[in-house]
Amino acid sequence: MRRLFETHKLTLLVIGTISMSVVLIVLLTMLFDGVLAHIIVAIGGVLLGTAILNGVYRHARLSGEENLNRQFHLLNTINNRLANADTLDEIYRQAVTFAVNDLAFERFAIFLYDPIEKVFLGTYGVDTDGTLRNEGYFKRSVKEMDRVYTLIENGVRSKLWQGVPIYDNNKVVGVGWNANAILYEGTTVIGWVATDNFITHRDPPPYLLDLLTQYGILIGHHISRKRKEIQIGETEERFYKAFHANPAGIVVANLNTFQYVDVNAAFLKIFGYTREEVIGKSPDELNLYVNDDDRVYVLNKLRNRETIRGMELKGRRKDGNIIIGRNSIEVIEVDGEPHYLVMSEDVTEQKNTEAALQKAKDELEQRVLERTRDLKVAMDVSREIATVLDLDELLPKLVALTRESFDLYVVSIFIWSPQMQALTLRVASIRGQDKVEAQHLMFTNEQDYGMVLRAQKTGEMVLANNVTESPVYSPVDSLPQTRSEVTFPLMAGDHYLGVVDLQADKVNRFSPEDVRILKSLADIFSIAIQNAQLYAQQVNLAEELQAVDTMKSQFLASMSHELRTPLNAILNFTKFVSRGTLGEVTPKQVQALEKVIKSGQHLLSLINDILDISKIEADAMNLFIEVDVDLISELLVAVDTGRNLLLENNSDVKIVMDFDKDLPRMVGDKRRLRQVFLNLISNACKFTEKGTITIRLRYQDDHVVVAVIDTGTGIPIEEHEMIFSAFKQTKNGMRQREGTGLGLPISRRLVEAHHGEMWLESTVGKGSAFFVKLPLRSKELLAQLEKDTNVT
Amino acid sequence: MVSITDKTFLYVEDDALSQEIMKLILEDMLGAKELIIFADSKNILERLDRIAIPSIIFLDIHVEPYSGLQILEMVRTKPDFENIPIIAVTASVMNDEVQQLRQAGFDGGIGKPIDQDVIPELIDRILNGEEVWHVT
Repeated sequence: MRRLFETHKLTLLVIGTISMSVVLIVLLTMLFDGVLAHIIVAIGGVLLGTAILNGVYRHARLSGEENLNRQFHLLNTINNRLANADTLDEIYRQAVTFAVNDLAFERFAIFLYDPIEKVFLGTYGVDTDGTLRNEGYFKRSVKEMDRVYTLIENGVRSKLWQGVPIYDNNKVVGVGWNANAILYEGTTVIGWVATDNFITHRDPPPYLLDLLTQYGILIGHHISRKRKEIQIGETEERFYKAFHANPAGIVVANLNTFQYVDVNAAFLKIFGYTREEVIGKSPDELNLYVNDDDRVYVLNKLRNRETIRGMELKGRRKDGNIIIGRNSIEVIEVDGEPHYLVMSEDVTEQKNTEAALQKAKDELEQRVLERTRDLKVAMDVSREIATVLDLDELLPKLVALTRESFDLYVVSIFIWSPQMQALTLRVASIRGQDKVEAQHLMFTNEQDYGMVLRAQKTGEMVLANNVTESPVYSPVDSLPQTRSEVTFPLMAGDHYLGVVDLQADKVNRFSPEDVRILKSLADIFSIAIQNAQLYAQQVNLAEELQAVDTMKSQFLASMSHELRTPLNAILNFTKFVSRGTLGEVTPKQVQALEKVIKSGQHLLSLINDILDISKIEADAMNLFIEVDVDLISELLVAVDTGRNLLLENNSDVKIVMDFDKDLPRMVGDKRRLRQVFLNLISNACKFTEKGTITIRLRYQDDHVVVAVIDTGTGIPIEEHEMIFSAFKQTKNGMRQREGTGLGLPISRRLVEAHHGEMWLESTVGKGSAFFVKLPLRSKELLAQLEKDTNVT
Repeated sequence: MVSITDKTFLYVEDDALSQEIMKLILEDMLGAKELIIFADSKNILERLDRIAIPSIIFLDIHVEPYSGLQILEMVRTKPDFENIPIIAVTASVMNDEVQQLRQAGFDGGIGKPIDQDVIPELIDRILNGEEVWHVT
C-alpha cells in the first residue's frame, strides 16, 4: 500500500496580480521558443520579481524577500530544467519531481490527452514519500474524469476541490483537497496536472491555484515545444530518408551556377558517378545531355522558373552508355537562393521493353503481310502450273514471280539431266538483268562444289544466311551482291528433278519462317516441273505416234496401190487366156487358169481386208454416206454372190429370203453395208453343208434387223467373242484356207460405224444366226454428212 | 446393151500392161471401134483436138506430167468435151481417195485390178448417163 501525501516543506503563495505577469512571460516564452530562460531574465524579470515580492509564503518562516527570491529562483530553475530536457519523458519526470520536492505538493501527477483515442493517459507521478512512479496504468476517458471535464467545458484553467476523497488505485485512501490544472497547447487541451493533499495536515494555501495554473502553463508549454521539436526532427529524418533512399535519382542544383549541391544514391547509380564526382559540377561538365535540343528546352524552362513533369530525356552515363530518364524538375528555394530539384527515373529498360514489344508487334504484322504475300505467290505459281505446261514458258515465269514477290537478288532453277549426269542452269531471274544463258554444271570435284550442287548431292536444303561466314558458300563472280543464299533440291518422290537457288543481297534474309515457306514453294516447283516434263514426254510420244500412224497409212495406201497394179495384170491376162480371148485353150488349161484367178482374187481380198482393218484400228474408217440407200438391193447382190458360191461348191443348201415389205431407204454407206452382208452370207455358205440359209429382214419404226441364219455346225459360246476379234480364227475358220479371219471383225466395226449392233446366237450342231441391227436414219451419220458437205 | 462397135474411147495411162488390158477388153472382147491410148499427159489439150471425140475418157490418176485430177479440170474447159463422161481408173481405192475423186467431179471410177467380167455392164451404165463407182 502506497503511503499517503505527507506534510511538505514549502508552500508558495503567489498573489493574483503576479500570476498574470507569469502567464504573460510564459506566453512570451512560447513565442520565442528555445530562449525561454533568457527572456524570463531579460524581459519578464522585473514583472516576475514584482510578483514574487508580492507573494506571501505563509507557512514558511522566511522573510517576504527571501520568499520572492526563492520563488523566482524556483521557477527559473524548473524552466531551465524543462528547457534542457532531451526527451518528453525527461520533461514529465522533471516536472513531477520538482512539484513534490521543490513546490511542496504532497502528490503530483501529469495526465496527457490522446486526441486519437480521446482518453487521458497517466504519465508520471510522485507520491508523498517522494518516489517517482509511472502512471501508465491510468487510462480514462475525458467524461470519466468529471471534474476535469467540467473545467475543460467551462474553459477554466484550474480548480480546487476541498473535503473530497483521495483515491489511490481506485480506492479511497483518505479525505483532503484535490486540485487540477488543464494543460494547453495554444487552445488545444493536451492534458492536465493534479495534486492531492490531505486536509488533516493543512488547508490549501490561497495562492495554490495561481501557482498550479502557472506551473501547468509552464509544463504545457514545454511539452508542446518538445513535441514540435520531435515532430520537426522526424520530418527532417523522413525527408532525409525520402531523399537518400529514394529509388528515383534526385539531385539538387544551384539555379544560378547550375552546380550540383546534393545528390542521392539512386542518381549516382543511374549515371555511374560517385558523389564527389557530382557535387560542385554542372550537367554540362558531366556531359549529361545527349541531345542539345533537350538541354536548351530544360534551361529555358528553368530560366522561367517553370516546372517540368515526366519528361523523357536521354542521358549519358559516365561510361558513355545512353539511358532514358523520365524527369520532373522543380525550382525550390534553399537558404534564400534559387535551386532546382531534379527527380529522374531510369526508364531505359522499360523503354527498351516497349520498343521490343513494338518491334515484336511490327514483326508480327510484317510476318502476316509476308505470309499473305507468300500465299499469293503460291497461288500464282499454282495457277501458272495449271495453265502452263511448257517448261520453257513455265520456268521463266516461276523464277521471275518468286524473285519479285520475295524481293530477292537471284532466283534460278537448275535441271538435272540423268543422261548427262549434270545440272543445267535452265533459267535465272537476276535483279537488273534480262536473261541468263544456260550453263552446264558438272560434278568435277567432290571437295569443291557450291550450294547448288550440294543440295543436289545431299537431297537436303542448304542454307547460308551470311555467305562470308559460310563454309558451304562458293562465290560466283557474276553475282557480287549475294549475302545470303538458300538452295532446295527439287524432288519428285526419290527422283531428282534439279535445284532451286535463291539468293538475297541482305544478310540473314532467310528466317526459319521464310525457309519453311520457300521449301513449300520448292515443292510446288517440283510438281510444276514434273508435270511439265511429263507433259513434254506425252507430247513427244503423241507426236511420235502420230508420225508412226501417218507412215503406216502412207505405207498401206502405197502397198495397196503397188499390189493392185500387178494383180491387175495377173487377173486380167489369166482371164483373157482362160476365156479364149487370146486363142484356143484346153479344158485342163482353163481349170488351171481358174485356180490362178481364184488365188489372185483371194490375194486381192486379203489386201482389201488388211486395208480395212488397218483403217478401223487407226479409227480412220470413213464412210461414204448416202441418204437413200436401198438396203434390199444390196442384200440381193450379196445373196447372188452366195448362190454363186453354193453353185460352185455343188451344195444342196438353199437360200431362203424373208423380207418385210416396203422398207424405206436408209442412211449409210451402201458399199460398206453390202460388204457386211456379203461377208455374213458367204460365211454361211462356206460353213453350211446342208439345210438352209435364211436371210430375214425385219424393220420397226426407226431401225431394221437383218438376220443370216444357217443350219451349220454352230459356234461354241466361248468362241463368240473371239470371232469378232481381228487376226483370230476359230478352229473351224482355220480349216478354211480362204479366209483372212478379218471378215467378221471388219463387219462388226462397219456396223458400229453405222451406229448399229452386230451379234451372234448359235447352238453347236444346230446352226448359227448373225444379227445386224441398223438405224434407218442415224442422226450421227446425218450430222457427219452435214459436216463433210460443209467442209467441201 | 448399147452397142459400142461404132464408138471410140480414150484411156490416159502410163502403165503398158494396163493399156494392153483395157485394149483387150474394149476392142477384142467388146468390139469397140477404137481405144486411143495416151501414155502421158503432155500437150493433152492439143492432142485431144487431133482425135475423134471419145464416148468415154478413162483417166489414170498417176500420170505425168499432169495428174488425172488436173487432166479432168483441163478437159472440162473444152466445150466439145463438156458432156463426155470422164472415169477415173485407179489402184488407189482407199475411201478418202475415192471421196476426193468424187468431189473433183469425175463421173465415175473403176478400181484396179479391173474386173473384166463387170466392165461391159459398167460401160453400158456409163453410156446411159449413170454415175458409176466400181472401186472394190
